[in-house]
Amino acid sequence: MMKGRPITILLVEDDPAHAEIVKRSLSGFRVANRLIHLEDGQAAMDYLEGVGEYGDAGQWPRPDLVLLDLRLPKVDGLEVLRRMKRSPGLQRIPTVVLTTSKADRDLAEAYGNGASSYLAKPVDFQRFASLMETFGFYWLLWNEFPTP
Amino acid sequence: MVVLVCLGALAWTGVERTRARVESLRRGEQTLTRLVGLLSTLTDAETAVRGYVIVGDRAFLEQYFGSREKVTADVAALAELMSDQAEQTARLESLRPVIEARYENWVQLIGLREQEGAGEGALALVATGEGRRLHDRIRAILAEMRRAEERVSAERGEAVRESVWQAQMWVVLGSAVAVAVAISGWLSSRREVEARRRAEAELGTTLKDLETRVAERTAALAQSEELVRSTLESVGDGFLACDGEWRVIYANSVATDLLGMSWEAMDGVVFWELFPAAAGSRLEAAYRAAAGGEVQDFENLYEPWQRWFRNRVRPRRGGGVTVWFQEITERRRLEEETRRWWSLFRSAQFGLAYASIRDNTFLGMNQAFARERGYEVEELLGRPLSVVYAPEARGRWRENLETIDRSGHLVFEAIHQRKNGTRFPVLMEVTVVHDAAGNPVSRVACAMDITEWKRAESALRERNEELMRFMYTVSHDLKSPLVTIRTFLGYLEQDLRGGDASRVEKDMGYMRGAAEKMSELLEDILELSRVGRKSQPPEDVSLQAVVGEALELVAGSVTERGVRVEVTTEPVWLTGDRVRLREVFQNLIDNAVKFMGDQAAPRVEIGVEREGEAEGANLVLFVRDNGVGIDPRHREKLFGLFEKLHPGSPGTGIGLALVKRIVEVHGGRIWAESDGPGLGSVFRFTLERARLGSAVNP
Repeated sequence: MMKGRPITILLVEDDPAHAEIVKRSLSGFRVANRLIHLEDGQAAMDYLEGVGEYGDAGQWPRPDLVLLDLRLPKVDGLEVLRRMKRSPGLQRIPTVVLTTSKADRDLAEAYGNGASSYLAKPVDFQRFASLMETFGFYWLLWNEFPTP
Repeated sequence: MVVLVCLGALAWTGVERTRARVESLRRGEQTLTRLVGLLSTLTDAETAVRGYVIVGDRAFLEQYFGSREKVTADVAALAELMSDQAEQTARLESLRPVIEARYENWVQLIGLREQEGAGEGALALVATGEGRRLHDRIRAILAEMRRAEERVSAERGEAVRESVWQAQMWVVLGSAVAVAVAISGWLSSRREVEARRRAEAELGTTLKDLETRVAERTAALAQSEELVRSTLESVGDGFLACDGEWRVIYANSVATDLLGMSWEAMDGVVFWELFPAAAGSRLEAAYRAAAGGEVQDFENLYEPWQRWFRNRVRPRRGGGVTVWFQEITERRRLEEETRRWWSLFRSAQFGLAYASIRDNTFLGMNQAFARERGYEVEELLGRPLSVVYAPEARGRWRENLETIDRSGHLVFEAIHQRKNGTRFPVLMEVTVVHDAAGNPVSRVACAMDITEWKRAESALRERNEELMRFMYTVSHDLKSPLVTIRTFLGYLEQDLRGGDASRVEKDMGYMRGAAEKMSELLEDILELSRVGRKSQPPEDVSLQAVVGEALELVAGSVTERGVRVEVTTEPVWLTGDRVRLREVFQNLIDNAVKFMGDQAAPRVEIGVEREGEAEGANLVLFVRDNGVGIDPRHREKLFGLFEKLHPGSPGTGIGLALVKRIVEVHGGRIWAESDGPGLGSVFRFTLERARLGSAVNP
């Protein structure tokens, strides 16, 4: 692999089936990458800010990349994005939106709030598989991440 | 000789007196003519002013302006003619101020009409009857003067006859004496003869002079008859006279023209034969009353012709009546039309108003306009238009005024302000009104309160946005399980090929879960769409009954978790769809039980509170628990469609959205309160027809 260090991905996704799809797709990239899955926006914020049960930085490393769904329980994805980009400690973490919505308003707000990329989940296995493969190559192999 | 001189002197004096009396008789005729002329001039002027007020055509005013000079001349001539009669002079003096007042009244009328164009004020002034009173007063004084003059003239005629006879007597006596003296003084001196001759000559001259005067007097009488006739011909009104047998004995040319008959056809014919439709009508009653001595002044419609006339009918000396009349069909038509529009204006339910273009003040309005703004009509008349516009809306309104004055017409929305300061939206339609010369004089506005429209519009906008949100949510939430099914179908194929049994099992589990989720969602969407669309007829039901039914449905989970449920005993009655109301409590109790957390003594309380102190205060129903509570940060998402605060919890997240919908359909609102996580929560809601009391229908 081209990377010298493992990449930590935070997946925020309330649908366990969709989380499973992402996990399966990225498991093909057999490096020491780590995928952390959280089910709601509040948990994601707590994790990123290292509060509550996520206080142990050794156990819960700061992610290099966030993969974010938009419709989430408690705090929705756009709000998570907004808070991250306002926080000096979190604003440099690339955040990719992965959702079923292709609504103009969601696209506009996501990019407006600093999303690095916006991907819509295809309703087709081949296309979904192909999308995740491309995602893996791009973000895990080619993309350069800033030093935390 | 002395006797003779005395007789001559007496004869001379008699002749002189006769001359003076004839002279005053002539002056009497002139006076009568002037009196008739004066009344006629004033009547014409009145007709002219009235015409102008109604129609607004300035051509009418020419006759009015001409009248002033004529009246002044007539009055001056009358003063001169009557200078020797104290009583008549007094009457004339009493007439002067009335004529002045009459002119002032006209000046005021014309002024009002010119100023405002539409003539409402002028018509109002006419309606006060001031003009009519003045005119009647003038007519009364003139009639009195005329009667006095006629009386004096009759006396004078008698006096003339008497003095002529006396003069003749003196002359005859003088002659007899002269003959006697001549015989006895045949031998008298030449001087005496000379003197007698001179006296005779003088007597002759006197007699001749007397004859001339009598001839002149006869000619003057003929002339004055011609004068009266020509006067009657030249007035603008129709004039006719009937004798005691109702035969038409005189009609001027205006009368024959108006009636469409030749004089020859009317001459001597009984009036009722000429106008058979008048028999038994108001006209006949008035004629007969006039013949009996009551002066009549009235307007009537002659049915066969559908034409209106104004008639002034007076008893005629020597029996019958004299009639002055004029056609007023056009005036009546205009008045009728004016009255019709005026009553439409006044009784309209839309607010109508008109305003001066010069200074933007109210000239008139109907009651609807004033009342809608909390005023009486009188309070707004003359006030600036800006008083009805909300201060913040005045700038925009002034711009609109400029547009109106430029284009003549505009429909626009504005915010009006009531007397008490409250505001309401209005739709205004404003049109500029011009006078006969084409100058803009006023603006007429029709104002409609559009509060309800605005409310409906914003409600519709809200519903539309809600619908858009709903569509967005539904499409997203339905797409999600579809993605799962299609993707795991792909994995399933791979895993079947690879013979990985445990993976196959997992794949199918995800697909099954997604399919179930999808069908659940569809069920819920259908359920939600049914609320408000298809409802049962409203029922009166007690809170305790509804809660009891709800508790039966959630008894399983309540018992399982060991939750103590307390329901208020206050008598509260609800009206609505019983099944839906039950669903509200069912969902709220179910929700409370579901999020009880690890509470050792779980408790749910259902009760009622009063919002505010007033008698008719709203009742607020509540469902309180001592469970996990709500993080205030997530409170706004609570009632959202398919929103779930707890990812792992069962259900699709429709429960509270459904509750909110049912409460809103029942005219209420719902909100949640909690002191924070772990501190329990309370859901409060109102229902439009919730009330305290023991009776079903209080």
